[in-house]
Amino acid sequence: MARSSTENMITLMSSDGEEFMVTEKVARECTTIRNMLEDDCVITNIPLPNVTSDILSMVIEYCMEHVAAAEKAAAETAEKGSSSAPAAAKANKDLEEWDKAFMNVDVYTLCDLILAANYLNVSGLLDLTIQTAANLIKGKSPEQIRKTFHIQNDLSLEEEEKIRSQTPWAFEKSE
Amino acid sequence: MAGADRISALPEETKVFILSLLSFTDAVRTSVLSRSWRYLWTFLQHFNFDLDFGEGPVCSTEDLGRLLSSLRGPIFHFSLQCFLLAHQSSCVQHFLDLLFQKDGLGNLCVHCGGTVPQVLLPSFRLLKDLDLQWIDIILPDDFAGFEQLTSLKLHSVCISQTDMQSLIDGSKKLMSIELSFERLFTSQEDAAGEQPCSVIINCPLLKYLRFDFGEVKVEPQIISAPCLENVYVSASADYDFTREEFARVGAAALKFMPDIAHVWHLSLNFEVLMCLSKVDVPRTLRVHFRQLQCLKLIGPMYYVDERMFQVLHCLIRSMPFLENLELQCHEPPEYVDYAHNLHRRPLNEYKKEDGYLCLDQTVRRVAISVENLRVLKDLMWMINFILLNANFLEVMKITYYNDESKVESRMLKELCAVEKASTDARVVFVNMDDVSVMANEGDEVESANG
Repeated sequence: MARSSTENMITLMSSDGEEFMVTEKVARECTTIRNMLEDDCVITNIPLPNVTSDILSMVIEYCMEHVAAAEKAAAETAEKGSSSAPAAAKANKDLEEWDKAFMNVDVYTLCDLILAANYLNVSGLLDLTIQTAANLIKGKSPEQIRKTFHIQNDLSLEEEEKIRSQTPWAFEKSE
Repeated sequence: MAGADRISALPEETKVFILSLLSFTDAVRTSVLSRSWRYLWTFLQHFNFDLDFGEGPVCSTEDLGRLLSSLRGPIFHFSLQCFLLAHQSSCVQHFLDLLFQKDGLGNLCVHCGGTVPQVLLPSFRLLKDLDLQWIDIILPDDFAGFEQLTSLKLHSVCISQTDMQSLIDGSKKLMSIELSFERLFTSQEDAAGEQPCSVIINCPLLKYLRFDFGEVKVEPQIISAPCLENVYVSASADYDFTREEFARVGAAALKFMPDIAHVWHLSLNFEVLMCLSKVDVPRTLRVHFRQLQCLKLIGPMYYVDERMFQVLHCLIRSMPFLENLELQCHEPPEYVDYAHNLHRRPLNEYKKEDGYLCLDQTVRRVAISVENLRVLKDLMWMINFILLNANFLEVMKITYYNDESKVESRMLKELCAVEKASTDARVVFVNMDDVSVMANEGDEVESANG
């Protein structure tokens, strides 16, 4: 990606000590970092002790893709005076496809991404990951959900029966 | 890493966020996953339930009441669609009382079917959005208005004139109002009263108003709405309407026009045009919509008959600065019998006419949206009329759904042959089912301009 040299670069440091150089614009996608930058504008090195390097690199990948898409849309609008509806629809669809492919991860990574998106406050990524998790639960039986997320059932058989009997209608369709 | 349960270890509010994206049934089902999930759903602050007794879970209204009491609250959003049997109709009141106790309610949406429940609407102090359908409403005696209410939608409701008026007068932040009545009655008399009731609108922040004229004799009257930009006037003329009733609605709609002469955006449905065609609009419409930029006509415009066409002429003549014209066409309602006087002059009988100020000078864009291209054939008179008269037309965009490209190219050829007043006019077809494909091919399909 071509970048102008005047753009501020920020170094993000993961919990395992790996450094990631990103443009300020990309870093600002994380509301948590944006707030830090606004409080102290000379800051260039930000340690993120809660995020591992593999997850941080994914968060950065997400932010870069979305910044690039927004820049492209803005450039097209400026060029043509107005954005053409089908082109905008196509760009949106492309980004959606990208998000979908991006969410093709195992549930561990998904949960770590949720945590990171929550901590860094990347609202788009948080919505995307939460929705993905919700989709894995939607319409599934409790057994299927436990299996998907490796949830250990610590309820006794009697307890489980009791809970089920309180809202039997909620279990009818999924079993 | 086997067996690591990452999702249960997420912060509680994040897990509740996940549950909030599920249907209520799905959310409740997570209560048996494990101990830590047991009561998670009770933290939900949104309650959405579509009580479909046919397809969905067989959840009784009692079950629903128990669920609602289990929620810890505050509940910000409550939405219920239900079909009620006679013995269930009291449940809505019960739900509203529970919501009132739990406080915090911002959005209330209840759409009922079956037995119409009668409710005393509690004074929710934080209510922002109120959307009720098929409900009889009574306001508490000490009702002092919904201070935070910005959007009010009442469809097919039954309410007293006094209560309706206090609802509007007491909610000074209202920005959007949609009203259609099943019954509106005054304290002295019942709905059968001969005199029409009025709903007086005096709303400093109101931007959008939709009013539906129907069987009930209710007439809106705007005293003051300085921010009003967008108005949708519709009529739900029924199949058993007599000629007099059509004329009554037409007269009421006509009377309302001066009140909304300052808006920028006006929408009218097919039935309103039909009702207006029963009163002598050419002689009685004395309004000029001097600020109107966009006129939208909704309904089966290709079934417009000769008299409705005249109404359209008059309206367009009364809008000197109109820029955008939109037609949104769908199938005609079954009850309309127009076969005898459909507007079907041969196309070559249309001549360019003067005196449509907006068509002569300001109309730049026309957007036509149809279900399929075949109905366009019946709309050719309208297209022809616009193309013949709009001197400065830039683009006519025809949006349609699923159709064959064969039909499109034939239509295009036909439209190219039509005489156009504006040499710059482009006709653009957009297939909504095919938007991505088209974007791949580069640009929208355009006609060559002859």
